[in-house]
Amino acid sequence: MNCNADITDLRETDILDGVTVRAAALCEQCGKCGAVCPALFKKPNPTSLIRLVQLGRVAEALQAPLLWSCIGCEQCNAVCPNKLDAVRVVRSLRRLSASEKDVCFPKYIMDFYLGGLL
Amino acid sequence: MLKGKILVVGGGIAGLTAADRLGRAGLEVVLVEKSSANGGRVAGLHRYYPRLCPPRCGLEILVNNISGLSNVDMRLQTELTGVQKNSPGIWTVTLRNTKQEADEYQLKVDGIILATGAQLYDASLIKEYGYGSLPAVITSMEFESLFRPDGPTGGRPVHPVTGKPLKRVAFIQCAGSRDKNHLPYCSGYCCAVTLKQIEYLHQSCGDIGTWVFYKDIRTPGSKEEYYRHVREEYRPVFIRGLPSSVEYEGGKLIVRAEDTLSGKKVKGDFDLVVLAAGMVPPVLPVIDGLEKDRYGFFPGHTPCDPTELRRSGIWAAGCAQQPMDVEDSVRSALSAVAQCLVKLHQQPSAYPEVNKKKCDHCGRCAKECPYGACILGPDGYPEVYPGDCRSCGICQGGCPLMCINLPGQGIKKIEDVVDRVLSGGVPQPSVLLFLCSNDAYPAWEKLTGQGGNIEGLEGVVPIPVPCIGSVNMSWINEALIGGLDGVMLAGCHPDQCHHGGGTSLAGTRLQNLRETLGRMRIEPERIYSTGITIDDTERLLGEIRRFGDLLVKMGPSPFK
Repeated sequence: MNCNADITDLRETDILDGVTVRAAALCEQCGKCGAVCPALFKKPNPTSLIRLVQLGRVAEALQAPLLWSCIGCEQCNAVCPNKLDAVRVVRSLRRLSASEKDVCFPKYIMDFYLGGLL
Repeated sequence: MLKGKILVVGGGIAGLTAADRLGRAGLEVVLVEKSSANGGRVAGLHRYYPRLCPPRCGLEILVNNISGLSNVDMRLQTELTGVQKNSPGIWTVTLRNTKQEADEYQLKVDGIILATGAQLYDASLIKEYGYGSLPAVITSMEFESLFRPDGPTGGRPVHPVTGKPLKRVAFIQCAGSRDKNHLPYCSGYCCAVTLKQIEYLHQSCGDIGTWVFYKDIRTPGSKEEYYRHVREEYRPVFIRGLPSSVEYEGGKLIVRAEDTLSGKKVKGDFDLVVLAAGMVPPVLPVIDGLEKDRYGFFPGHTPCDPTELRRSGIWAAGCAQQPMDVEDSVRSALSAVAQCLVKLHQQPSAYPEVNKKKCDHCGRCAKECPYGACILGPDGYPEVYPGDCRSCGICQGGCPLMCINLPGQGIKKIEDVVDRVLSGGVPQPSVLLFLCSNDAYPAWEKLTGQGGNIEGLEGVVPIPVPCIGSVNMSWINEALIGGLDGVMLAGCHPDQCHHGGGTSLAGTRLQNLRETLGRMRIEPERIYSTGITIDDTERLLGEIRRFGDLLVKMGPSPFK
């Protein structure tokens, strides 16, 4: 993880759609979504995934394990005091990840799907 | 001696403070309180912050003072059920004895202070915290009662159900507040309340663990010092994350949250969970024309005059204004009192006169007056109460027959300009420029100096008006038919008009006028309106030049 990313450089968010960026901007990091999320997440959890988007660190967000372990149950959306659509943020990031040529699923996701096929 | 009768609604800390000061100033005061006891919310508190002094002390002083004042009439179990204005400057209020349904009567008063307080948010609506269904999940107000000798535990801060000593207590902040699913606003008082409660919990229980689940701690001003004091002295565990659930397992309350600072999920078990519940606006009878904010509070004209409501002679004090703590409630009550005394004392400002010969009782002036100063009297003619009038002139702007006018304002001024244009005394393009005297006129003066004009646009005739809403459409009509090339209106931005609706009213009226003019073969472009702030001098110049250029291009008025 690149810890030296310049947090003032927010241009990276331009590759996400406006609705997603605005939704992420609403988040005040209260952590209610992180507390309900049933996905067996490692960091970043929904709260910090949205934080990465707020900081424009989209490349880092694309590497987050949660991106692929989210099951879209929308419990996060249900408890959010700002009524923001966190699942939409996840979906947009997934779409972005899939549209990039060098899309690289985390190894455990690959293992899971390939294992399922065999 | 000052004369006047004031109704104070609500016997909480704000209402008592207001009644006491007004009484001491010699006014006749009627203080009504719905419940059977004075003191409101404050009477249920254990201690005030930051001094941790008992609220009873201040309350008793107030109540004793008031009982010693023969001019203050305290009526308990009395509810306000109606407010009407039937004669200028006088409110007719309907009061009801809450014990006897039928016992309703009316009073005439010179002013009303709404100190109705706020209701607490129903915490059971926050389903995930289990208030009302789980044992030992209580609100901060109920927590106060654990310390009171007349409370459920006889004043001992113990588990409210088992009676055992408390070991671990969780405080959940923003319970209902700052949440679009519940109350979208910050209730403002709950952070400091929790700090206060932590302090006396530690002081009386000694060996106890306190946890605070929060998303921001908001302790503005000197309260920040109190926050630091509590952190340092009692070292509660602050978890920056709101819990997603409170559950009951094996006699303990389990709170789950994410500590957003470490990114880790946390789970704690507690004997007691205290919800810092927010405030909900008061329930009041409908008062015609009295605007509330989008939540139902009366914050007044912020920031210039928070006591000024859209009905002159009514002031809000305490939590009726917005959620606030005791200190702010007292402060707000004192400012309402000050404004009330000013109103009863002041020299009336310029107020409009009515030409009864022309008036056809349409009632538009009374309807559009932003302060309720103009009402239709028993004879059907408008009456303006000078003490309530803010001289905005919105009544004269709306009158279809031009029969209500502020002194020195009116069609005469316009006719003079038309005469000058007709006699060739005004160079082309001739423009009548109305400027709001709050913002646009000072900007114009800065631009041109006193009595000056703009180079190349000497045909612009400036006319200051108290509010752009005071410009009567007949004046514009008169000017254009009289041969002026154009009319420009420079008011405030719609959401910045001090009188609320002045700019938007002018906008609606102009729209109608443009349609009428179109039928008379006058190009609607000859009327231009814009919003100008006091420091917009350059933009004002630019807009006038652009409008001048347009008029030159369009050629002289077809009526010239």
